[in-house]
Amino acid sequence: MTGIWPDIVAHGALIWQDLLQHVEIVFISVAIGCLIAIPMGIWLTRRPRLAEVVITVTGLIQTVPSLALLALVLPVLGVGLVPAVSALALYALLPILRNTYVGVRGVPAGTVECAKAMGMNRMQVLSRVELPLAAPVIVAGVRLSTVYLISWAVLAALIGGGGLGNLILEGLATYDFGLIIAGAVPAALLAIAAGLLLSWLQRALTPVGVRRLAAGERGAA
Amino acid sequence: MSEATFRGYERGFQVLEFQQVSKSYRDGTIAVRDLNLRVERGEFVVLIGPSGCGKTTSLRMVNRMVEPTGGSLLLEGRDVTSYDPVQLRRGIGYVVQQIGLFPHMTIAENIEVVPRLQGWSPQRRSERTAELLQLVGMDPGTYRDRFPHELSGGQQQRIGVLRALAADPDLILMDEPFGALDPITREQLQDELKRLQETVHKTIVFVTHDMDEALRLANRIAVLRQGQLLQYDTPAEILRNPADDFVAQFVGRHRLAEMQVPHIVRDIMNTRPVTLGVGASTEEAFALMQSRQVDTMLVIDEQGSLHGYVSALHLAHKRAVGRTLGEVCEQDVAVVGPDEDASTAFNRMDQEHLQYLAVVDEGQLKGIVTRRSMVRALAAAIWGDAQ
Amino acid sequence: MSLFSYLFQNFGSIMQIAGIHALLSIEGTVLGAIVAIPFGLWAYRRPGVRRFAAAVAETIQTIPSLALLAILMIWLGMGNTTLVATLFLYALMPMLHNTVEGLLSVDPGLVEIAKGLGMSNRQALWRVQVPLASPIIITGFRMALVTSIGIATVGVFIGAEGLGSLIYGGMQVQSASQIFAGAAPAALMAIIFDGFLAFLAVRAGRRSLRLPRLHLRNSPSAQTPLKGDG
Repeated sequence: MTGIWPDIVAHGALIWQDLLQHVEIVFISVAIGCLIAIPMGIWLTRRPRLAEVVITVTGLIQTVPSLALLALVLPVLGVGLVPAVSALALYALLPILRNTYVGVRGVPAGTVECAKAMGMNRMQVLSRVELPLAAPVIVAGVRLSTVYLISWAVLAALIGGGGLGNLILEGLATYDFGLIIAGAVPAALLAIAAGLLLSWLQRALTPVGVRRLAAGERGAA
Repeated sequence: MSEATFRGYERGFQVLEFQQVSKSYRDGTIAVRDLNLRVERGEFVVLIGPSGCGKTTSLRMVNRMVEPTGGSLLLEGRDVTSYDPVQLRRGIGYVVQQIGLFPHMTIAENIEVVPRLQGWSPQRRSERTAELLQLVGMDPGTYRDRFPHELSGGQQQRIGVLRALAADPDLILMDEPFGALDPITREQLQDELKRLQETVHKTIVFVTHDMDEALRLANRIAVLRQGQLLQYDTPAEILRNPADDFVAQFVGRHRLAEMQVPHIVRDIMNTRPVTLGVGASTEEAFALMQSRQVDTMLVIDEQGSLHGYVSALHLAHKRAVGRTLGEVCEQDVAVVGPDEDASTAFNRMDQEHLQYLAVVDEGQLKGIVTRRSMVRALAAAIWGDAQ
Repeated sequence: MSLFSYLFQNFGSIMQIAGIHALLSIEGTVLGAIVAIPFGLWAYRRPGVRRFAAAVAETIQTIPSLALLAILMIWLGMGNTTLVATLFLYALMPMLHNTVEGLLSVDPGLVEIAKGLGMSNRQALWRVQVPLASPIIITGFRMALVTSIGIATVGVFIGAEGLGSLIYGGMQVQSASQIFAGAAPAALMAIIFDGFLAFLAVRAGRRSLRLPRLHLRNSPSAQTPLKGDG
């Protein structure tokens, strides 16, 4: 072995194609996860008892090993992009759902009361007070889901989802280190980059007043 | 039910009336029972009572944060439940003790919450914010873009009050707004609020459990206990004629706390005792005793220092006609200093059966403590300076 | 073949594979604890070291499991060793993070009191800070172990033993029963360890007076947000 660069170059076109596909799978799955989990999380804040149940159930789904979940999708939904995305979106739900719920619930009751007392209707309380204050926590959930999904999408290749898993699995099957490197290194870099990007987004979405407040508290502690 | 729009900020609010208002909860606890209360325009009404007396619940029923379970609450003659709650609240200012300010909004954004909800133009909003900040002596340039946590507690609470004033509502509800502040800041803000109310003529309903605060701010005070109104009157009337023992006890403690208790001899002495010089004749002494209706007088020398005393009894006894007071006076005068403890002086007079104590400072006669001077000082402390 | 008859006929071997799976998962996690917890005890007072280590551990955590397994396989070869090494790396982050957070969460006033009573720094650490932090540290171990059980199924691709072999084998012969026979024990194992360690953390929490419910009932409860770095 003479470093990883030659392997990357040798498989350049293939890597690029699989990388794009990987991003696509993750993006679609996370987007679906957000579309379901964020409204649901908000809705659950109005029903705390139901929320405990729902979050426990999604928590149980989360304990099923990712390989097992993907494998179980196979007999039910068959092979291809749709089964892969379905399984991954299911996985993306929990962190987003839970963080939306906790984030919105975490807005101090006094602050919400005050917003109501000033004459905000429910939508206004949600959009002007609760969501801005919960945004950093919600984005943390999205970030976590994204990073997990980049990892699990590697396995999605097993059920025909495509992506960088193709290269790694093929490399492992044929014992071709070049292919393994060509799949594993971009996958790792993609995950790290996505993590950093969303961390940045999380900071950017933290309201300035709250960010300085948090910084102040940390400074004081 | 058709829901009217409450436009307290446009039409001018006239009167708020509680008619037999009750609030009970499903578990049977009764927070407020049969409350009758009328608040006129421009009044500063304080609801006061121990915790759990229903004062906050009563306040929150005004803007429908809590719905009454009995009776009705009339705003401008209409039941508040006939107004749309969201519109109603936009027309009523509201200030609470904690947080209150939205941490993710700047000072200006916080103040402008209600004007924004009412769709004011940015221009008008920003002018209003500047005007309000100046009203409490905070420079708009410095403060408008700061965040709540960058301000002191007192400044934050000022912003809380300004936010309630922003859309110019005629009625403002305040729920222990200064409860979390230190005593000095609290007094400062109370003074500012009083001044503010006198300039902007708002009707304010204010909840507190602090009688000092109530006495300082209110035009009228409503004393509540266990959900019931015990007395609703002016501060003076409540102090003078408490409705029952509970009210008396509740205000009494505060009345004593407010009082200037005499601590030292200087506080209880008569500064103009009846005196004569050592050279005066006994005839002059008799005449002065008769005209001032005293039977004892102090004798001082030319420098104003105490020489002794003469009493009518021993002037007669000594048959001192034709002699000067310097010759006949007794010298064993009981003496105290002006900065000695008043209660010690009292005890001494009591135990030694003294009629008076001469107050001497560096040899100079400063005054005299008699039973009469002591009673006057205490009376002034309790009922105020009657003269 | 029906699911039940499959499970019934192969019960012994499924249990054996599950046992190996559990052992490998625990091995990797315990190795991680042996490194991460003492390091956390040392590093929590050193913000620079702490942040650097946390960043490294977090980056490792981010790498897709199959990618990390594959890369390590190139150095360590096919087999269980590579799997355990990978699980060790993944276990570092949650345990380091929770050890540090746990220690930092202890009221500094209590540490002052401990020293005021004549404890040395070391005694204050072991008798006051560590017991008080233990629920959070146990929670870190719990999170690491549950993650390990899941990742260990992926070990099949680098020739490691465990339930992954049943799952992958089932996929290849298209046997839902066999897939289930691998997936269900893995999920059950995760749930059981999760519950047991949560129970231990609660017990430790009761002893330490403050009940950090927030950190304890991590997966089933709706109280704590999930943090990428937690």
